Amino acid sequence: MQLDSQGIATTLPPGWEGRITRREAPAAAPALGLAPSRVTLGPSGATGERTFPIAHLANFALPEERGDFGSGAVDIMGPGNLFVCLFEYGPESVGTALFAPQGMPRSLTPSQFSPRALQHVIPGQAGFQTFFTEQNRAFCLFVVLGALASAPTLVPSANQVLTGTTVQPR
Amino acid sequence: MSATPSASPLVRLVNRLSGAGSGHPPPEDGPTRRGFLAGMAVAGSALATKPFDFVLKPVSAYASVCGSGASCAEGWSVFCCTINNGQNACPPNSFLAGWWKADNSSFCGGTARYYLDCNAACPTTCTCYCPTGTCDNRRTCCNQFRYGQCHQEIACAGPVVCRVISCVPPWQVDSTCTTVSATDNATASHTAPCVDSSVPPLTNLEPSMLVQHPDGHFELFDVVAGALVQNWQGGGVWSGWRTLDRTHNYVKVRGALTGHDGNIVVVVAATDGDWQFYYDQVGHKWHGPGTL
Repeated sequence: MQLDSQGIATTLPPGWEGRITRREAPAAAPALGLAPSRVTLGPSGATGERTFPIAHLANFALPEERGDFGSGAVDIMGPGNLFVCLFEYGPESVGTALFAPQGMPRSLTPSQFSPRALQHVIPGQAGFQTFFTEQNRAFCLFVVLGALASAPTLVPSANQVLTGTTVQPR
Repeated sequence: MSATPSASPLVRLVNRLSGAGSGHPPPEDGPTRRGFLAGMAVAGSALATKPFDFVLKPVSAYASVCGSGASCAEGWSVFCCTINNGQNACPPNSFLAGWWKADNSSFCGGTARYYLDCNAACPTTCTCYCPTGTCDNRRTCCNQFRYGQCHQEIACAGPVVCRVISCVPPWQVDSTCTTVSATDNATASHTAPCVDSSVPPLTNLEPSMLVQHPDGHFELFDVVAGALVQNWQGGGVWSGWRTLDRTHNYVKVRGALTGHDGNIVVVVAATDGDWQFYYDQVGHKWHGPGTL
Protein backbone atom coordinates (compact mmCIF):
# COMPACT_ATOMS: atom_id res chain seq x y z
CA MET A 1 0.00 0.00 0.00
CA GLN A 2 1.23 3.46 -0.84
CA LEU A 3 0.47 6.70 0.93
CA ASP A 4 1.45 10.10 -0.40
CA SER A 5 0.36 13.29 1.27
CA GLN A 6 1.79 16.52 2.66
CA GLY A 7 5.09 15.88 0.95
CA ILE A 8 5.58 12.54 2.66
CA ALA A 9 5.32 9.29 0.71
CA THR A 10 5.56 5.76 2.00
CA THR A 11 5.17 2.24 0.79
CA LEU A 12 3.77 -0.03 3.45
CA PRO A 13 4.18 -3.80 3.62
CA PRO A 14 1.11 -6.04 3.70
CA GLY A 15 -0.67 -5.84 7.01
CA TRP A 16 0.37 -2.27 7.66
CA GLU A 17 -1.74 0.84 7.62
CA GLY A 18 -1.01 4.50 7.98
CA ARG A 19 -2.31 8.04 8.16
CA ILE A 20 -0.57 11.14 6.94
CA THR A 21 -2.51 14.04 8.36
CA ARG A 22 -2.27 17.62 9.39
CA ARG A 23 -4.47 18.90 12.17
CA GLU A 24 -6.64 21.90 11.53
CA ALA A 25 -5.02 25.05 12.85
CA PRO A 26 -7.02 27.23 15.22
CA ALA A 27 -9.03 29.94 13.55
CA ALA A 28 -7.55 33.39 13.47
CA ALA A 29 -8.80 35.77 16.12
CA PRO A 30 -10.07 39.20 15.22
CA ALA A 31 -7.48 41.92 15.04
CA LEU A 32 -6.78 43.47 18.38
CA GLY A 33 -6.58 47.13 18.95
CA LEU A 34 -7.99 49.54 21.39
CA ALA A 35 -11.45 48.23 20.82
CA PRO A 36 -12.79 45.89 23.47
CA SER A 37 -10.53 42.96 22.93
CA ARG A 38 -12.61 39.92 23.50
CA VAL A 39 -10.82 36.95 22.06
CA THR A 40 -12.53 33.64 21.85
CA LEU A 41 -10.29 30.65 21.55
CA GLY A 42 -11.47 27.82 19.42
CA PRO A 43 -11.44 24.21 20.43
CA SER A 44 -8.08 23.61 18.84
CA GLY A 45 -5.95 26.08 20.76
CA ALA A 46 -4.76 29.63 20.48
CA THR A 47 -4.29 32.05 17.66
CA GLY A 48 -0.84 31.65 16.26
CA GLU A 49 -0.61 27.92 16.64
CA ARG A 50 0.64 26.17 13.56
CA THR A 51 0.26 22.59 12.54
CA PHE A 52 2.46 20.48 10.30
CA PRO A 53 2.19 17.02 8.81
CA ILE A 54 2.20 13.94 11.00
CA ALA A 55 2.56 10.39 9.70
CA HIS A 56 1.46 7.42 11.76
CA LEU A 57 2.39 4.03 10.36
CA ALA A 58 1.63 0.75 12.11
CA ASN A 59 1.33 -2.97 11.61
CA PHE A 60 -1.97 -2.96 13.47
CA ALA A 61 -5.29 -1.19 13.18
CA LEU A 62 -4.84 2.43 14.18
CA PRO A 63 -7.60 3.90 16.36
CA GLU A 64 -8.97 7.15 15.01
CA GLU A 65 -8.44 8.94 18.31
CA ARG A 66 -4.70 9.30 18.63
CA GLY A 67 -2.32 11.73 20.18
CA ASP A 68 0.21 13.19 17.81
CA PHE A 69 2.92 10.93 19.23
CA GLY A 70 0.71 7.88 19.28
CA SER A 71 -1.12 7.81 22.58
CA GLY A 72 -4.25 5.81 22.11
CA ALA A 73 -2.48 3.66 19.54
CA VAL A 74 0.47 2.49 21.61
CA ASP A 75 -1.92 1.57 24.39
CA ILE A 76 -3.44 -1.22 22.32
CA MET A 77 -0.22 -2.61 20.91
CA GLY A 78 0.59 -6.25 21.35
CA PRO A 79 4.11 -7.64 21.59
CA GLY A 80 4.34 -8.11 17.82
CA ASN A 81 3.16 -4.61 16.97
CA LEU A 82 5.16 -1.70 15.68
CA PHE A 83 4.29 1.99 15.56
CA VAL A 84 6.17 4.64 13.56
CA CYS A 85 5.55 8.38 13.93
CA LEU A 86 6.97 11.17 11.82
CA PHE A 87 6.19 14.60 13.28
CA GLU A 88 7.19 17.69 11.35
CA TYR A 89 8.22 21.03 12.88
CA GLY A 90 8.26 24.49 11.39
CA PRO A 91 10.89 25.83 9.01
CA GLU A 92 12.37 27.92 11.83
CA SER A 93 13.63 24.68 13.36
CA VAL A 94 15.86 23.89 10.42
CA GLY A 95 19.42 24.72 11.31
CA THR A 96 18.97 24.51 15.06
CA ALA A 97 21.11 22.22 17.15
CA LEU A 98 18.25 19.86 17.88
CA PHE A 99 17.63 19.23 14.19
CA ALA A 100 21.25 19.25 13.08
CA PRO A 101 21.40 15.57 12.07
CA GLN A 102 20.79 15.29 8.36
CA GLY A 103 18.57 12.59 6.93
CA MET A 104 16.05 10.24 8.43
CA PRO A 105 17.69 7.20 9.99
CA ARG A 106 16.70 4.08 8.09
CA SER A 107 19.00 1.50 9.64
CA LEU A 108 17.94 1.27 13.24
CA THR A 109 19.34 -1.39 15.52
CA PRO A 110 17.68 -3.11 18.49
CA SER A 111 20.22 -1.60 20.83
CA GLN A 112 18.89 1.87 20.04
CA PHE A 113 15.56 1.04 21.65
CA SER A 114 14.90 1.58 25.32
CA PRO A 115 11.96 0.88 27.62
CA ARG A 116 12.41 4.44 28.90
CA ALA A 117 12.28 6.15 25.51
CA LEU A 118 8.51 6.43 25.51
CA GLN A 119 6.07 9.27 25.92
CA HIS A 120 4.75 7.32 28.85
CA VAL A 121 6.17 4.04 29.95
CA ILE A 122 4.15 0.97 29.06
CA PRO A 123 5.52 -2.25 30.47
CA GLY A 124 7.29 -4.36 27.88
CA GLN A 125 7.38 -1.69 25.20
CA ALA A 126 10.47 0.11 23.99
CA GLY A 127 10.96 3.27 22.00
CA PHE A 128 13.40 5.21 19.89
CA GLN A 129 13.26 8.94 19.27
CA THR A 130 15.46 11.18 17.18
CA PHE A 131 15.31 14.61 15.58
CA PHE A 132 16.65 15.30 12.10
CA THR A 133 16.36 17.41 8.99
CA GLU A 134 15.57 15.99 5.58
CA GLN A 135 14.93 17.98 2.42
CA ASN A 136 15.23 21.11 4.50
CA ARG A 137 12.30 19.98 6.64
CA ALA A 138 12.63 19.35 10.39
CA PHE A 139 11.22 16.12 11.82
CA CYS A 140 11.05 13.91 14.84
CA LEU A 141 11.05 10.16 14.26
CA PHE A 142 9.49 8.15 17.07
CA VAL A 143 9.29 4.36 16.83
CA VAL A 144 7.62 2.12 19.40
CA LEU A 145 8.04 -1.62 19.66
CA GLY A 146 5.23 -3.60 21.26
CA ALA A 147 7.86 -5.58 23.11
CA LEU A 148 11.54 -5.01 23.50
CA ALA A 149 11.96 -8.76 23.35
CA SER A 150 10.60 -8.68 19.81
CA ALA A 151 13.18 -6.15 18.66
CA PRO A 152 15.16 -8.62 16.51
CA THR A 153 12.12 -9.13 14.29
CA LEU A 154 10.39 -5.76 14.65
CA VAL A 155 13.35 -3.47 14.02
CA PRO A 156 14.01 -4.87 10.52
CA SER A 157 10.34 -4.27 9.74
CA ALA A 158 10.69 -0.70 10.94
CA ASN A 159 13.72 -0.25 8.72
CA GLN A 160 11.82 -1.61 5.76
CA VAL A 161 9.09 0.96 6.27
CA LEU A 162 11.56 3.78 6.84
CA THR A 163 13.45 2.83 3.70
CA GLY A 164 10.20 3.02 1.81
CA THR A 165 9.39 6.45 3.21
CA THR A 166 10.52 9.59 1.45
CA VAL A 167 10.23 13.28 2.18
CA GLN A 168 9.82 15.75 -0.64
CA PRO A 169 11.14 19.29 -0.41
CA ARG A 170 8.58 21.99 0.26
CA MET B 1 -0.02 57.20 35.01
CA SER B 2 -1.44 60.70 34.75
CA ALA B 3 -4.97 61.37 35.82
CA THR B 4 -6.55 62.49 32.62
CA PRO B 5 -9.63 60.34 32.57
CA SER B 6 -11.64 62.49 30.24
CA ALA B 7 -8.96 62.29 27.58
CA SER B 8 -8.08 58.67 27.92
CA PRO B 9 -9.21 56.34 25.17
CA LEU B 10 -9.47 53.68 27.80
CA VAL B 11 -11.93 55.70 29.78
CA ARG B 12 -13.93 56.48 26.69
CA LEU B 13 -14.26 52.79 26.16
CA VAL B 14 -15.27 52.23 29.74
CA ASN B 15 -17.84 54.95 29.37
CA ARG B 16 -19.20 53.34 26.29
CA LEU B 17 -19.48 49.98 27.95
CA SER B 18 -20.97 51.42 31.09
CA GLY B 19 -23.55 53.50 29.33
CA ALA B 20 -22.30 56.64 31.02
CA GLY B 21 -24.39 59.65 30.22
CA SER B 22 -27.52 57.62 30.12
CA GLY B 23 -28.83 59.42 33.14
CA HIS B 24 -28.28 56.72 35.73
CA PRO B 25 -26.74 58.08 38.88
CA PRO B 26 -23.93 56.24 40.53
CA PRO B 27 -24.73 54.53 43.79
CA GLU B 28 -24.35 56.68 46.81
CA ASP B 29 -22.48 54.21 48.92
CA GLY B 30 -19.42 53.70 46.79
CA PRO B 31 -16.72 55.48 44.87
CA THR B 32 -17.43 56.89 41.47
CA ARG B 33 -15.58 55.94 38.34
CA ARG B 34 -14.15 59.44 37.97
CA GLY B 35 -13.10 59.52 41.56
CA PHE B 36 -11.42 56.22 41.17
CA LEU B 37 -9.51 57.21 38.07
CA ALA B 38 -8.25 60.30 39.82
CA GLY B 39 -7.15 58.14 42.67
CA MET B 40 -5.21 55.94 40.34
CA ALA B 41 -2.76 58.76 39.77
CA VAL B 42 -1.56 58.94 43.30
CA ALA B 43 -2.01 55.62 44.87
CA GLY B 44 -2.00 51.98 44.08
CA SER B 45 -3.33 49.24 46.14
CA ALA B 46 -2.22 45.69 46.00
CA LEU B 47 -4.63 43.29 44.51
CA ALA B 48 -5.75 40.65 46.89
CA THR B 49 -3.97 37.71 45.46
CA LYS B 50 -5.09 35.08 47.83
CA PRO B 51 -5.87 32.10 45.65
CA PHE B 52 -8.98 30.12 45.92
CA ASP B 53 -9.07 28.22 49.09
CA PHE B 54 -8.63 24.64 48.39
CA VAL B 55 -11.61 22.65 49.49
CA LEU B 56 -10.36 19.68 51.37
CA LYS B 57 -11.90 16.56 50.07
CA PRO B 58 -12.66 13.39 51.94
CA VAL B 59 -10.08 10.72 51.55
CA SER B 60 -12.40 8.56 49.53
CA ALA B 61 -12.65 11.25 46.87
CA TYR B 62 -9.05 12.32 47.03
CA ALA B 63 -7.76 9.90 44.45
CA SER B 64 -10.02 11.42 41.81
CA VAL B 65 -8.26 14.77 42.23
CA CYS B 66 -5.36 13.63 40.10
CA GLY B 67 -7.37 12.44 37.13
CA SER B 68 -6.47 9.47 35.00
CA GLY B 69 -3.03 7.94 34.60
CA ALA B 70 -1.92 9.06 38.04
CA SER B 71 -0.24 5.91 39.27
CA CYS B 72 3.42 5.19 38.90
CA ALA B 73 2.69 2.07 36.89
CA GLU B 74 0.77 3.99 34.25
CA GLY B 75 3.98 5.64 33.20
CA TRP B 76 3.11 9.33 32.76
CA SER B 77 5.28 12.17 34.00
CA VAL B 78 4.55 13.98 37.25
CA PHE B 79 3.39 17.60 37.57
CA CYS B 80 6.10 20.04 38.55
CA CYS B 81 4.18 21.51 41.46
CA THR B 82 4.14 18.03 43.04
CA ILE B 83 7.92 17.77 43.21
CA ASN B 84 9.03 21.41 43.07
CA ASN B 85 7.80 22.85 46.36
CA GLY B 86 4.43 23.62 44.87
CA GLN B 87 5.86 25.70 42.06
CA ASN B 88 4.41 25.25 38.62
CA ALA B 89 7.81 25.73 37.04
CA CYS B 90 10.83 23.75 35.92
CA PRO B 91 13.03 22.64 38.82
CA PRO B 92 16.72 23.48 38.82
CA ASN B 93 18.82 21.63 36.26
CA SER B 94 15.90 21.19 33.91
CA PHE B 95 14.54 23.24 31.02
CA LEU B 96 11.42 23.54 28.93
CA ALA B 97 11.98 21.17 26.06
CA GLY B 98 8.58 20.96 24.42
CA TRP B 99 4.86 21.06 24.84
CA TRP B 100 1.51 19.64 23.87
CA LYS B 101 -2.07 20.56 24.50
CA ALA B 102 -5.41 19.05 25.30
CA ASP B 103 -8.36 20.75 23.66
CA ASN B 104 -11.47 22.12 25.32
CA SER B 105 -10.15 21.77 28.83
CA SER B 106 -12.38 22.53 31.77
CA PHE B 107 -9.21 23.50 33.62
CA CYS B 108 -8.77 26.46 31.28
CA GLY B 109 -12.25 27.75 30.87
CA GLY B 110 -13.03 25.45 27.97
CA THR B 111 -9.98 26.43 25.95
CA ALA B 112 -6.78 24.50 25.36
CA ARG B 113 -4.69 23.40 28.30
CA TYR B 114 -0.96 23.29 27.68
CA TYR B 115 1.51 20.81 29.14
CA LEU B 116 5.12 21.93 29.05
CA ASP B 117 7.73 19.26 29.66
CA CYS B 118 10.75 20.09 31.76
CA ASN B 119 13.55 17.79 30.64
CA ALA B 120 16.72 17.28 32.61
CA ALA B 121 19.71 19.23 31.42
CA CYS B 122 22.71 17.26 30.18
CA PRO B 123 24.68 15.75 31.73
CA THR B 124 22.11 14.62 34.21
CA THR B 125 22.24 12.76 37.45
CA CYS B 126 18.49 12.67 37.54
CA THR B 127 17.22 9.27 38.66
CA CYS B 128 13.86 7.71 38.04
CA TYR B 129 11.34 7.63 40.86
CA CYS B 130 7.69 8.16 41.63
CA PRO B 131 6.94 10.66 44.39
CA THR B 132 4.61 9.35 47.01
CA GLY B 133 2.56 11.53 49.29
CA THR B 134 -0.13 12.71 46.93
CA CYS B 135 -2.26 11.01 44.33
CA ASP B 136 -0.01 12.53 41.66
CA ASN B 137 2.25 9.53 41.86
CA ARG B 138 3.44 9.88 38.30
CA ARG B 139 7.03 9.54 37.26
CA THR B 140 9.94 11.91 37.41
CA CYS B 141 13.18 11.41 35.49
CA CYS B 142 11.90 8.19 33.95
CA ASN B 143 10.62 9.00 30.47
CA GLN B 144 13.30 9.78 27.93
CA PHE B 145 11.06 11.67 25.55
CA ARG B 146 11.09 15.17 24.13
CA TYR B 147 8.33 17.07 22.38
CA GLY B 148 10.94 19.33 20.88
CA GLN B 149 9.34 22.73 20.34
CA CYS B 150 11.31 24.60 23.03
CA HIS B 151 14.98 25.38 23.39
CA GLN B 152 15.89 23.86 20.08
CA GLU B 153 19.33 25.37 20.53
CA ILE B 154 19.89 22.58 23.07
CA ALA B 155 20.41 19.27 21.32
CA CYS B 156 20.82 17.12 24.39
CA ALA B 157 18.01 16.54 26.85
CA GLY B 158 17.67 14.09 29.68
CA PRO B 159 14.42 12.49 30.76
CA VAL B 160 11.28 14.43 31.57
CA VAL B 161 11.55 15.71 35.12
CA CYS B 162 8.02 17.04 35.32
CA ARG B 163 5.23 18.91 33.54
CA VAL B 164 4.32 22.58 33.86
CA ILE B 165 0.68 23.44 33.31
CA SER B 166 -0.51 26.58 31.58
CA CYS B 167 -3.65 28.03 30.09
CA VAL B 168 -1.43 30.43 28.17
CA PRO B 169 0.17 29.28 24.93
CA PRO B 170 3.71 28.06 25.61
CA TRP B 171 5.40 30.53 23.29
CA GLN B 172 4.07 33.25 25.56
CA VAL B 173 5.48 31.47 28.57
CA ASP B 174 8.92 30.95 27.06
CA SER B 175 9.91 32.67 23.87
CA THR B 176 12.14 29.78 22.87
CA CYS B 177 9.05 27.64 22.32
CA THR B 178 7.74 27.57 18.80
CA THR B 179 4.08 27.72 17.91
CA VAL B 180 4.11 24.28 16.29
CA SER B 181 1.25 22.49 17.93
CA ALA B 182 1.14 18.96 19.27
CA THR B 183 -2.07 17.50 20.65
CA ASP B 184 -2.77 14.70 23.07
CA ASN B 185 -6.28 14.80 24.39
CA ALA B 186 -5.68 11.59 26.34
CA THR B 187 -4.02 13.71 29.00
CA ALA B 188 -6.93 16.12 29.39
CA SER B 189 -7.94 14.88 32.83
CA HIS B 190 -4.42 14.64 34.24
CA THR B 191 -3.90 16.91 37.18
CA ALA B 192 -2.59 17.07 40.74
CA PRO B 193 -3.73 18.49 44.09
CA CYS B 194 -1.29 21.36 43.80
CA VAL B 195 -2.79 22.22 40.43
CA ASP B 196 -6.38 21.87 41.55
CA SER B 197 -5.83 24.08 44.56
CA SER B 198 -5.56 27.06 42.28
CA VAL B 199 -8.21 26.13 39.75
CA PRO B 200 -11.78 26.53 40.90
CA PRO B 201 -14.61 24.83 39.08
CA LEU B 202 -15.73 27.21 36.35
CA THR B 203 -19.46 27.16 36.53
CA ASN B 204 -20.19 30.12 34.30
CA LEU B 205 -18.04 29.54 31.28
CA GLU B 206 -20.11 31.21 28.62
CA PRO B 207 -19.42 34.80 29.64
CA SER B 208 -15.74 34.23 30.34
CA MET B 209 -13.53 36.82 28.74
CA LEU B 210 -10.08 36.36 27.39
CA VAL B 211 -8.11 39.55 26.92
CA GLN B 212 -4.98 39.74 24.87
CA HIS B 213 -2.50 42.48 25.58
CA PRO B 214 -0.69 44.20 22.74
CA ASP B 215 2.43 42.26 23.68
CA GLY B 216 0.56 39.03 23.18
CA HIS B 217 0.00 37.69 26.66
CA PHE B 218 -3.43 36.92 27.97
CA GLU B 219 -5.66 37.49 30.92
CA LEU B 220 -8.82 35.53 31.54
CA PHE B 221 -11.78 36.65 33.61
CA ASP B 222 -14.80 34.70 34.69
CA VAL B 223 -17.55 34.51 37.24
CA VAL B 224 -17.40 31.52 39.53
CA ALA B 225 -20.10 30.93 42.08
CA GLY B 226 -20.87 34.63 42.17
CA ALA B 227 -17.25 35.70 42.55
CA LEU B 228 -15.25 37.55 39.94
CA VAL B 229 -12.03 35.69 39.23
CA GLN B 230 -8.96 36.44 37.20
CA ASN B 231 -6.08 34.44 35.82
CA TRP B 232 -3.08 36.60 35.23
CA GLN B 233 0.58 36.65 36.00
CA GLY B 234 1.92 39.40 33.89
CA GLY B 235 2.72 37.28 30.92
CA GLY B 236 4.57 34.58 32.79
CA VAL B 237 3.28 31.16 33.62
CA TRP B 238 -0.18 31.47 34.99
CA SER B 239 -0.06 30.25 38.51
CA GLY B 240 -3.79 29.89 38.70
CA TRP B 241 -6.97 31.71 39.45
CA ARG B 242 -7.37 34.40 42.02
CA THR B 243 -10.43 36.12 43.32
CA LEU B 244 -10.92 39.72 42.34
CA ASP B 245 -14.05 40.25 44.37
CA ARG B 246 -16.57 38.31 46.38
CA THR B 247 -18.42 41.24 47.87
CA HIS B 248 -21.14 41.22 45.22
CA ASN B 249 -23.08 38.51 43.52
CA TYR B 250 -21.65 38.61 40.03
CA VAL B 251 -23.60 37.21 37.17
CA LYS B 252 -21.43 37.65 34.14
CA VAL B 253 -18.39 39.33 32.67
CA ARG B 254 -19.54 41.87 30.14
CA GLY B 255 -16.31 42.96 28.65
CA ALA B 256 -12.67 43.63 29.09
CA LEU B 257 -10.45 46.31 27.69
CA THR B 258 -6.80 46.91 27.16
CA GLY B 259 -5.07 50.24 26.85
CA HIS B 260 -2.67 51.20 24.11
CA ASP B 261 0.35 50.58 26.27
CA GLY B 262 -0.86 47.21 27.44
CA ASN B 263 -0.40 48.13 31.04
CA ILE B 264 -4.01 48.54 31.92
CA VAL B 265 -6.76 46.01 31.66
CA VAL B 266 -10.22 46.83 32.84
CA VAL B 267 -12.82 44.14 33.23
CA VAL B 268 -16.48 45.04 33.35
CA ALA B 269 -18.57 42.66 35.41
CA ALA B 270 -22.30 42.77 36.03
CA THR B 271 -24.05 41.89 39.27
CA ASP B 272 -27.58 40.71 39.86
CA GLY B 273 -28.52 44.23 40.89
CA ASP B 274 -28.01 45.74 37.46
CA TRP B 275 -24.81 47.42 38.45
CA GLN B 276 -21.55 47.09 36.67
CA PHE B 277 -18.26 46.96 38.45
CA TYR B 278 -14.93 47.79 36.95
CA TYR B 279 -11.57 46.46 37.97
CA ASP B 280 -8.13 47.02 36.70
CA GLN B 281 -5.28 44.63 37.07
CA VAL B 282 -3.66 46.36 39.98
CA GLY B 283 -6.74 46.12 42.13
CA HIS B 284 -8.55 49.40 41.61
CA LYS B 285 -12.28 49.14 41.53
CA TRP B 286 -15.18 51.39 40.76
CA HIS B 287 -18.75 50.95 39.62
CA GLY B 288 -21.63 52.41 37.77
CA PRO B 289 -25.06 51.58 36.40
CA GLY B 290 -25.56 49.02 33.72
CA THR B 291 -27.75 46.25 32.57
CA LEU B 292 -27.11 42.64 31.93
